Amino acid sequence: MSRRATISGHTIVAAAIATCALFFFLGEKSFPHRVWVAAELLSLPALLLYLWKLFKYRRAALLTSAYQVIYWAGILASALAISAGTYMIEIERTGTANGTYWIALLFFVGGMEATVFGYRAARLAPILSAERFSGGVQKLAIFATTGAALLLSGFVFVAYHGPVLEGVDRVTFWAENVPAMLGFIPNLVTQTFFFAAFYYLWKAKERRSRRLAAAIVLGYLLAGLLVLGEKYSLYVLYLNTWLFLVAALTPSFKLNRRSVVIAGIAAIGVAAIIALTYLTDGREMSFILTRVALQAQLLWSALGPGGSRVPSPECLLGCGFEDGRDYISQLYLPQHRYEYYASVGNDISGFTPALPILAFGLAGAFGVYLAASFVLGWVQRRAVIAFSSNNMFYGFLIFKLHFGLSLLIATTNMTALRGIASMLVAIVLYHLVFPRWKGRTQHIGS
Amino acid sequence: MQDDDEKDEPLTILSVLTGLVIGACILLFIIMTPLDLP
Repeated sequence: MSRRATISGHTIVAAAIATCALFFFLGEKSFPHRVWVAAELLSLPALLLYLWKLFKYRRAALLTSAYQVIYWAGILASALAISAGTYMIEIERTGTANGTYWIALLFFVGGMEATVFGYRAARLAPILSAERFSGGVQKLAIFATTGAALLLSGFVFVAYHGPVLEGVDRVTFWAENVPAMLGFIPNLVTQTFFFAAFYYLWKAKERRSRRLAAAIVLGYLLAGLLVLGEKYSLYVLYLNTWLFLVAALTPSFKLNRRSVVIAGIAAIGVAAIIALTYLTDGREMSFILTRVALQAQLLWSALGPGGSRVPSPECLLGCGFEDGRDYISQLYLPQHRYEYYASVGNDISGFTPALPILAFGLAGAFGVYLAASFVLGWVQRRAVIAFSSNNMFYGFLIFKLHFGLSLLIATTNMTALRGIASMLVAIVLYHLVFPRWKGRTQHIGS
Repeated sequence: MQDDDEKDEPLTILSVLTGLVIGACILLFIIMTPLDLP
């Protein structure tokens, strides 16, 4: 393959997918049912080809975008279910084909291209170096953080048995079974998984024994399931952390049959656990389809009947409601459900790109999303640069900044801005306290 | 594969203390900046 083809292969596929998506979006309502179902299904191989091209030629940019890919995979699967006529139990509407799937496809492919572009552009900006600590210091910090998280989880498991053994849901367990002063543990486990993953992949990179690191990672998997009682969202976060670090530390791995089989078994395992919990809750297994359809219900509504609203940018922040999420919830949920959810503090999901479309119009929202995706790619590259020179602490701050931005973009929840601001302050402080001295070879603590 | 701990650079008291202090700082930092899973 020529150099030119390797550089632009994924962009050509992206452009082809985007053109088809636009064509079907504009014409979907005029096509017979059979044609649009076929067209949506036919787009899947094209999407897989696109992801394969990225995996092959832009691997680090793709792997560090795991959260983005998973988010849009959820929206796309949901949009497929909706256009096939699934009833959306929250907004109490029956799905139709109104182009939701194609708009989601357009945002996903466009966003990925912008992210890859941002990832590549980050190399051109001047690199601000920060001092890194010696391997010994990093290792001890890893043991201190992961050790504390696992010991505390172990204590909760021994003393309070965890939500699975107790047979209660995780919210009830952490609210009622465990003293309030231990309520910080789930957050601690969630965030310190980073250090477990870093330790494993760091050892893998240096081709050293990984037994201890593997045991720590296993501890986190078990703590997530048995002590935190998490099923889906925690493992998405674990996966995102893992793939992000793989991109930085062991990027040249070969995709062999064994790893494909392991990934396949893990995916089936997660699906089986989710299906099983629905069954034990007294629901049908097909509820999983109903659940899937909820992710794109807001996008379907924003594009649906009465969808051509005048864009109102102030509604991104709530326009009279608590925030933008509250605004869009009251707009599309039936009154009784909106009030019930507000009273129990339950949130619906899939705010992006529905809320930005209401705020800026379709074209405006697409532009904003492209710009945000570019920034994501830029930050991803900076984190990878830090990790690949084994600068774990500094990389961790950039990784957290990236995750805060990802959450802000996916959930449109403005409270993420606080975390983003504090990460920016921490990064600046790190530069001020540990600047990189030119020509200095010794690391702090060695 | 080499044995992990023996081939690592030797740990000084300073690096042990630095590692533990930084570990404690990270724990504090994480607790102060919680992540809300969507």
